[in-house]
Amino acid sequence: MSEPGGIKRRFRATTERYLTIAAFEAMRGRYPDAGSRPPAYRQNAFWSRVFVPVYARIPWSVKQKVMKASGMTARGWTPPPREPGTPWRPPAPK
Amino acid sequence: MSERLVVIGGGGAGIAAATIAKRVAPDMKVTLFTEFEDIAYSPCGIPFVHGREIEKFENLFLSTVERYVEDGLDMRMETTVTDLDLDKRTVSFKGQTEGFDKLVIATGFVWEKPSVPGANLDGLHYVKNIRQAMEFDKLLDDMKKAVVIGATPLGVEMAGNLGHRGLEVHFVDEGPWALHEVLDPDVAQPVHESLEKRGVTLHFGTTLNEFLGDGNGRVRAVSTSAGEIECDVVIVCLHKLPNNDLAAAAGVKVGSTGGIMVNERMETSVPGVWAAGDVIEVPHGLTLIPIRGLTGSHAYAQGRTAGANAAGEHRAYDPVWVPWGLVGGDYTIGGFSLGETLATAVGVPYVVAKGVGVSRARYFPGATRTNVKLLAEPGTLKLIGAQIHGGEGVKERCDFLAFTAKRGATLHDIAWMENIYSPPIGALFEPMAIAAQNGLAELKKAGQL
Repeated sequence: MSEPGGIKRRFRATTERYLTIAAFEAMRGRYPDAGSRPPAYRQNAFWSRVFVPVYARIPWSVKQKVMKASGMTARGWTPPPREPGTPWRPPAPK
Repeated sequence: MSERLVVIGGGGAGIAAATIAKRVAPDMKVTLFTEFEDIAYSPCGIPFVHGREIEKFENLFLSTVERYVEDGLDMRMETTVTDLDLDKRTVSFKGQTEGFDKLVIATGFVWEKPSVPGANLDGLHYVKNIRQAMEFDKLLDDMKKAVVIGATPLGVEMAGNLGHRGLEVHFVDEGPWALHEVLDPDVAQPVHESLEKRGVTLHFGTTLNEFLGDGNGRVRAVSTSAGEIECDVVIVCLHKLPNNDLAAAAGVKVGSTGGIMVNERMETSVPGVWAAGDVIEVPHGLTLIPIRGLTGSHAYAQGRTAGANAAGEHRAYDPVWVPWGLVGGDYTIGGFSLGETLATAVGVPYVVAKGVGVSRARYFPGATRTNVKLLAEPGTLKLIGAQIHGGEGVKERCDFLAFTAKRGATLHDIAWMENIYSPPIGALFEPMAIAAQNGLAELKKAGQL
């Protein structure tokens, strides 16, 4: 049986690949004069025709929640607050 | 007895961890294992020695083994750690076993190999080890045609530098443009033009089928979907893969990228074991999605954090906003966080602000155009990414923008930022401010402001 971490890695690699290929095509449409070439990747119809369009329709806020709930985001990290005017703080004493 | 710290790996992360640990806790016994003969050199400079922009490989060395020994480190050169037992707290090497109390894993990366026939032929070169690069550089003198596989940052640097050296270079990738995994096509375009001026023939959107041998085990050509390309050598510049076999076999948890999972203190899933550099994954500052394969400066900073914490301090490393930059041909490009391509792929909503300025007073000799593209979150207009191309000042702007984005700066902040005006070093109007002002004007016109 595949280990859970391995399944997650393969899922991430596959979804990233197809989402990136779709983004290449979107960018080629947006910048038609940029001299790019059609990418030459082999593709699987399920991921390109089902997964990518469905993913694109889900709002970013929902995607974020799903990623967090499914353990696709990092744990054990405290991002600094992104509020303008928040002063820099020295590291906490030992 | 003093506490024993073992560091596995002698790259930027490993050497940083070892030196900082010794500095923080001078009584600690710090032992560093590396499989290589050399230490403390800049592998990132290798393409530029091949391109003869740097005179010799010796210039890439920053320090010596003796210097680290003088600083109190126990340096085990050319010593590969073959087994790691985290229950017994031992490392094995050359038939010996040695104990440790704390461990930093900084085993770096290995290059992805092409999964096509002929990938084991002689004549396929991977850029990593400086001694191999020195030998390879001598062979380059007798070579005329090179194929570079992989439009990664290293691929762009190798293609540009070999072109600069006078070789006929063919640059092959399945992707649609150079650096497509990080760069947008409008920013890639001037890089393509600059590479072509250096004699590089671009083969993007081209599938690699096979490496063809000469009958004596050496590559003579590359078979692609666009035909066969004769060559004397192939430079393979695919992805960096985390060198995590030792750690994973010992039971250290590996994440969704294949890198070792760490928290903000660089602690792994195993107490008393830290990790840093290309072998780990860290969260992206905006999405918190783990990423890996960052720059040497990231590896060094992570190594410092790991080393200090292993020595008893309490340091945290922030999620990353990844400022990056490089010279493609003669053209400087850079950015931070997301470009349009990556934001579109991930599904992050954004608005774009674009502008063009000059790097110094327009009448001052050497002034170059600086093209700025900013990405901001709709609504709040907080910066979430940028791409910049031009000549001088790209790197500093990308560093600055990454920092301001991390602190929540908006298009409004950048539009009305103060800037230096001094004809030899800075123009009256800052290009980043021009881009932000343009973006705000467009949003106002569209009724979104």
